Amino acid sequence: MYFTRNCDCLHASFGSQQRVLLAEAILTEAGIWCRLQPGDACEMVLLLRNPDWPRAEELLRKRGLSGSNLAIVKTS
Amino acid sequence: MYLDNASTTWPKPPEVAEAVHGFISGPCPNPGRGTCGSGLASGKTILQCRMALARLFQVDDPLRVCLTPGVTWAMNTVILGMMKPGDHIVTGSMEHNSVMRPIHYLAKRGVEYTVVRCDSQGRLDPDEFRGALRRNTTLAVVNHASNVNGAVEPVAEIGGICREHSVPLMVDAAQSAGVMPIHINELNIDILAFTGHKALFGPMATGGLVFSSEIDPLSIEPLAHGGTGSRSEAEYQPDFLPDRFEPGTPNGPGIAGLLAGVEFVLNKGPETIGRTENHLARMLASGLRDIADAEVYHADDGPVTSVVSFRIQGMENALVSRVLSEEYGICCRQGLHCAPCAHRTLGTFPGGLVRLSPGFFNTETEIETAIAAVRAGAGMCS
Repeated sequence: MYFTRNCDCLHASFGSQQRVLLAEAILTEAGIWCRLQPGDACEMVLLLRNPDWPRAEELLRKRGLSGSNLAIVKTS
Repeated sequence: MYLDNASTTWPKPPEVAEAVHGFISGPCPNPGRGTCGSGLASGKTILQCRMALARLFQVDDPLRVCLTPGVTWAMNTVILGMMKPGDHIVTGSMEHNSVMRPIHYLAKRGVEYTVVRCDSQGRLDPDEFRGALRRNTTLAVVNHASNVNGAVEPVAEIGGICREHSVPLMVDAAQSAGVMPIHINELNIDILAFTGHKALFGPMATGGLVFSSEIDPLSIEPLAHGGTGSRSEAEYQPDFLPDRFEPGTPNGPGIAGLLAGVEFVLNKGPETIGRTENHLARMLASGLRDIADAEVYHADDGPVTSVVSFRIQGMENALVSRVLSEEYGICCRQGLHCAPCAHRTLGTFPGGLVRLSPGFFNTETEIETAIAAVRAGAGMCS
């Protein structure tokens, strides 16, 4: 897994729409801000904010959306 | 009067048709392919269905619920995707052809198999099942509830035995999902195959697989390969769930209807639905047993679902079925029910039986009418 830590926000790819939608549902339920956006490939990516993403990452790891299934494809 | 709910449930709760109509009549881009808002709405409907099924079958990760065009497709995926020449598969003698046919197909290609004979009520003896497991056993498949006489197999016990021997157990829940509580971990089930159009009240051509955390789904080769809307740069099937087992455009309208059906089941509770149906089945079996020439097959000496089969001495099943249909407007199903092995077990092969299967929406009055119709029909021959 790759993270660039000195950025305001990042895009997380989860492999497919069903996976990114689940990630969005999990984070929304936990009150963590996130937003779906079109990604470079055909699937959606999830925009996360820097103060939140470490907590988001931990939560998603616990739900099985981790490892090769969670790769940061772009930072901004 | 509809008494063929073991084939497919009818009527469905009204919200099922509304959901199918709503999906088709609204903007419904291909789920997983587009990034516009309505495309996401399609995808969200499918995710909600996955989450509802995960809740129903008590699995933590909804991504371990893979949606297929039905339970036959689901079980073929696992059987054909796991077994290699020299491997051994164990099953019981009450299985449906959706299990028996892929096994016999593989047997011609070097896969070994054992069919453990069930008792006269259609139930497996766990010790006999244990005795059938071998060093090269790769998979065990057990029918949760029979589509011929409703016999419920001791799945938890068999699953425990399979775990002792590190053999994955797949359970066919075609007749049990929606009418019995199914907690896949408590029942020691590694893979659950389910259909959507029976007691989950969904449309036809819906169903799927649920993988417990005990099984590595990546050890199973996909049955079909194709576009998933993900990892499009790769010319091979994704190695993650659910995409691995969901190539091609999903049955969006069907899945929307299935979601409505599963929500109905979750609201009522499978226990309540099963209890209601079993009450009607008990009443039906009791009434049929009072008919002199009727031989009734309903495994109510133990756990059972609402499937009641019978035959009338001296009367062809086809004639019984025709009389019930044409004279009394009763929908039933005669014959071998795609389960010749089950009928051999019960001693009703090759003639088969006439099957009546009450559903959640049938009434006591309808059951009384059905009993009276069978009695009158039997009287035609005496």
